[in-house]
Amino acid sequence: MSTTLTTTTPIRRSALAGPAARLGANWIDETTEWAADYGDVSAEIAAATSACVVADWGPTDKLAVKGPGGRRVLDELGIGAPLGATASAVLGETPLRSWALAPDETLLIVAADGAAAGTVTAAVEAAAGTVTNLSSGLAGIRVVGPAARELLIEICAVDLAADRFAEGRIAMAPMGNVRVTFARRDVRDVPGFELLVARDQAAYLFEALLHLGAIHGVRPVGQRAIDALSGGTRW
Amino acid sequence: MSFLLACPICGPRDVYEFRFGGEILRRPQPDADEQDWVAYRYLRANPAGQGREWWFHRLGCRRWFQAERDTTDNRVIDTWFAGEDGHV
Amino acid sequence: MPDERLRAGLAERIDRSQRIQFTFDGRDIEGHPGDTIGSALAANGVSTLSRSFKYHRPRGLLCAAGRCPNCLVNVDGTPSVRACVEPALDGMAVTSQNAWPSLRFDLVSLSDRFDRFLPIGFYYKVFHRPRFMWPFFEHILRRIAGLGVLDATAHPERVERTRHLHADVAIVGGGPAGCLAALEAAAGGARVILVDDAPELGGHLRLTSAAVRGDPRLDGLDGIAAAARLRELLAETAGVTVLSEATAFGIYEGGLLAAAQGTIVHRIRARRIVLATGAAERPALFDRNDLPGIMLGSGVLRLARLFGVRAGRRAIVLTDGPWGWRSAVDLLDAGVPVTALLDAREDPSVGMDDSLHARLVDAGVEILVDAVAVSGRGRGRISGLRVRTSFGERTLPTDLVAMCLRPEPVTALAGQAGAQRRWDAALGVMVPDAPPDGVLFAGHVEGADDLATVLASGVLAGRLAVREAGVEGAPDPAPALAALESARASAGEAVAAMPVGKGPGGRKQVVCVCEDVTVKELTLGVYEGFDDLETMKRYSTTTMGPCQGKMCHSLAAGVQAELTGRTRAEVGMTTSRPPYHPVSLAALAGPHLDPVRYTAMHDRHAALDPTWIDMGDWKRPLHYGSVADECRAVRERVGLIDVSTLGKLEVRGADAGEYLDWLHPNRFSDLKVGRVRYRAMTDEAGVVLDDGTVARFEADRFFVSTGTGTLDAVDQWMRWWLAGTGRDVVITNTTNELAAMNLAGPRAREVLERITDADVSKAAMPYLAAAEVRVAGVPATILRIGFVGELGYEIHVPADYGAHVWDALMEAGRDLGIAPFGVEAQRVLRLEKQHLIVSQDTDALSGPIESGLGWLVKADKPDFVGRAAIAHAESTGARANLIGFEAPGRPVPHEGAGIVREGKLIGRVTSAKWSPFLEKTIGMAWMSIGPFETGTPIVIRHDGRTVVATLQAKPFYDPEGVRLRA
Repeated sequence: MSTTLTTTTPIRRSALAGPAARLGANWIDETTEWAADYGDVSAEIAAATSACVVADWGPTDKLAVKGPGGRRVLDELGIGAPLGATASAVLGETPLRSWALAPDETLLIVAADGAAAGTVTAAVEAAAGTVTNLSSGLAGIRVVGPAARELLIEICAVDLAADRFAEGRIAMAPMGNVRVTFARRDVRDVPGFELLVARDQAAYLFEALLHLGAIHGVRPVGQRAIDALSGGTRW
Repeated sequence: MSFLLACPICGPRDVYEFRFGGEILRRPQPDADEQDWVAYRYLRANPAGQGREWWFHRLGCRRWFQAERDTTDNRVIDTWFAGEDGHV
Repeated sequence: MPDERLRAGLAERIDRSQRIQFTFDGRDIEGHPGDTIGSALAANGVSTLSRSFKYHRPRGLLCAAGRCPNCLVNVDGTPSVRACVEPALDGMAVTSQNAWPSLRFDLVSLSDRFDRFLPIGFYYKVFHRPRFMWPFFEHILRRIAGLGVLDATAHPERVERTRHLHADVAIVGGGPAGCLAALEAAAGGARVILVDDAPELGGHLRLTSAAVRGDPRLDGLDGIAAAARLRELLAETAGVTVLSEATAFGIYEGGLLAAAQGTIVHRIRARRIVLATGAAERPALFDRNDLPGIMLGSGVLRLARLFGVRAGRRAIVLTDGPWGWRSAVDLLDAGVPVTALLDAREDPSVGMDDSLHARLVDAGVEILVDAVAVSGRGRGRISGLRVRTSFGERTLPTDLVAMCLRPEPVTALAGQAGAQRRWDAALGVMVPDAPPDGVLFAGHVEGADDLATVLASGVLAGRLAVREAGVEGAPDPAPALAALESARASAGEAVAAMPVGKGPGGRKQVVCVCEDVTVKELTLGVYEGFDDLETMKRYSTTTMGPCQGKMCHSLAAGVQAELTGRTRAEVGMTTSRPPYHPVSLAALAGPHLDPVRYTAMHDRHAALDPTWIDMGDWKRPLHYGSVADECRAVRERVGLIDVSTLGKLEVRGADAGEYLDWLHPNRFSDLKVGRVRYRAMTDEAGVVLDDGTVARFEADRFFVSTGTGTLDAVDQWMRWWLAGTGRDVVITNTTNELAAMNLAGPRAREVLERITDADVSKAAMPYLAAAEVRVAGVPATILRIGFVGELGYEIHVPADYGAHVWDALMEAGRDLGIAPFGVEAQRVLRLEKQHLIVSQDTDALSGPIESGLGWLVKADKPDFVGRAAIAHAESTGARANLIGFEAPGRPVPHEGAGIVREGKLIGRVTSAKWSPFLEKTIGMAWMSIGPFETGTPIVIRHDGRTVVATLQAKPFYDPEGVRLRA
């Protein structure tokens, strides 16, 4: 027995939907509860280039590719990355970011609803690797702006200096006492970092960044501002 | 304590990112005496000097590795991933 | 109002064109922007700023550099602020501390008169006999103990911060040696951090008019100009970060240097640390040497040079070497009237600069050699100094004594880093011995007092540091080493400081100004047997006050040496420990970064305004208003609980089944696809660590659930057993990927059917089935298990859809009477079924047999973790100790309550609740002594009375388990 409850489009809700709603976010659409903006996109863009912004990055799908053969398969598909670093790639029509965390572990952040997930899974499992879907398990937070390092050094003991932590490089380390997997990702010439944190701790980290960042002029921004800043190179 | 421990994947990090996993021991055979099992469970060499031990990068890559550390000055001499012979 | 301002000088930091005003104990005090509270008070002729700790003796500025305890005041509610370095701001309300009823008339100073009742270690000796008097004395002592009063109001605007910094070379000390080291290291390509506690760099050079010689960049400039030049050079140099008004308070393992800058703590990781912490003057020992108006010479000079304040009108300089003559001339140059100079040496000609002598003579300064101070005269402020020369004693009128004894190396941080200190007899001071790995010394701290040597050592330290830090292309330090050796060679004969001994005599020769410890008391302490400096320190509390020995360490060591007939080398120094300088606990704690974990349905719970409970970092609803209603809903209709916090691990690979067999006393390799089985895991001591479930979805894919609080430990445990073994097993933590909810109750199936096309009938999905289906349009894993003892489905969905599925279930069940239930109801319901909770009903010694899980242990398995221990337990007669009990009414005994028989403890309560459904008290108990049969009465001790209960081995509700198999 079923009713329309089985057929209405499911509403996908970000880990940061709670704090974003309290800050006045407008969602991407009715079934995608990620902040598109907070009411003033131009102010959001300006803050990113003058101070620092924090953005909930999504929705994205995430695939954990493990096993010794995994990296080889991804390289053959043209979507691998150098060990310890990230790379942008496209599989079919789907853009993605590849994070080579360890010789036997890569994390793929893929545009939502792409067909890529199936292709990757089939290829990897054929090579005796495993693919696990972590699309909901990790939340993505982008920290972008000239003050990004000043903010992050208050919660992170990794040396983030521009000449010591290269563009694309990955580190797995605590920020504010929670484990974060992050990479340097400048947006054009604006300093920036991509953070991946366990979903259940994302709201805490987001609020900690805003609280500590107040003195640095940090504000939250939505996807539209990030897209505008990236000039379409969000991926 | 604030010494640096070199995770084989992540490089040198503050020791508080890790969890100490005990001395590297040899697990007794299943049919060993209860005395051997008690020693394995509870007795430790606890050297004042160099010792070999397990560490887990709890707040980083979450891998287990082994280290040689001088307990008198917390100097970490070497770190490596366990090989088959190193494991219990 | 007396005005002690001098004419404007080059080095001053005040803006005379503006005025500010603040109050001190209600009195209006005028000053200028740039003044410190202390300098403004001194400019207004205020000489008493505080009362000492024990004897409440009046105290005034001593060091004027933030190192001593004499100027601690309360500023706008914040206690124990150092007035001499705290900037004065318009409108501040500054009050004195530790005086009652007022600073001028402090009744507690009677303790000074009756000091025989407060000798060294008095709390071991007086006030506690007769014993009934102790509470009376304790009350008084507690009121007068301590210095400041804590500000208990919250200050949300004040956010303590921590900053993690990195450097190739970190330098402590912004004097000439530190600045030159920074320039050299940066020039060599290093990333440099320079930490200095003053508002601007330059150190003691900022105060002196002496000509600088020894570095081509500074030769010919006077001290003030040289300091300015150093600041300019550093500002132009890339790669140097300067932290000003930052005090380095600790050196820790791994090249970690900690510095406090206001409410910010900088944690600096450096490859090399250069300590250029300089040298500082110490007070002189004579009777009443703590009177206001007796200051360190550098303090007087600092007030004059930096703030244009004359600390007195007839200064006497006390010294023991040529440095004091230089200081006297500096004082005159700065505008402070010096009337006399006392040199303790018989023959002051060694190391003498004749031009200094001439200056002093021209200025009419009376020069006395072989002269020492004997006692200070005056009430509330010094008015005369009794001195002794070879001709006898006389009293010199004065209102200011500038103690200019030989500056001693500041070696505390060096000691923290692991350097030994040794006595240098040629200099008469303790100097650091060889620097430990990773540390270098530069400048006065090494003991040299010749400026050219100091500058050269700074340059060398910078060169060595950048090279040792491994910076590529760093220049060869050899030329700098040669320059240093050359400077040392031309430095001339060193003059040793006069030794510190017991002093000329008197009742109040104050050794430790922080703790009011006098020579008389130290003498008594040695007599009582405390002849080692470390034990004397603890017995007398010398060096344990706010200054941490900056003023008194060498005095205490010198006195101890003479009293025990030993040399300074033998007496040594006490161990240096962080913090070198007081740091607030709030600053050390940093910002309040306390992780909180939220489930995907958090906002749905919040909308119902539940009572929350913290389970570790997780926020969970304890109940939504009525535990009884929630229990009834589950038993009679259907309830829904958020169990997302449970740990979930995906275990995959060809060896996965066998691996799970290894980790558990039972088997999983024989678990059929589409089935779920209970798991309980033991360690090698046979102790139950965790329980949960295992479901199998493919031959090589298992879904493991764990307890909420045990997930992290289980994840580590499972990975550890894998490490290095080459097993084909991959573990992925999916705790956060999946939101989970338990739909439980007789009508649960009806609700679920409405939101899924999958067949969830009893035939298709019986008890202990596991399936991957779609629910409310999203992929879902469903396990038919029954922790609360009803028909139940544990539904796992991707967390981004958790709220969506929760809403769908609540909507689908609305007309069936669905209700959300919380942790408390769940605890009651599971207790009705006697389902154990690990670490609530078990503890760190509980094995599976004793916990009633003996049926899990498969004796025919080959080896597994804990096998030997469990086998041993079995062979020594282990049996089930965990058993239920019930009682007809209330009270419900406390969890942990003892069970007694004939005065002996025979067990304890592990869980106990009131069952609203069964209307009785139910619980579980760990019985160590039997009998254990159903029906056996037990006596529980609860709040001083007894509760009689009856053991019940079978579940209280549905003992045959019919309901959960529906």
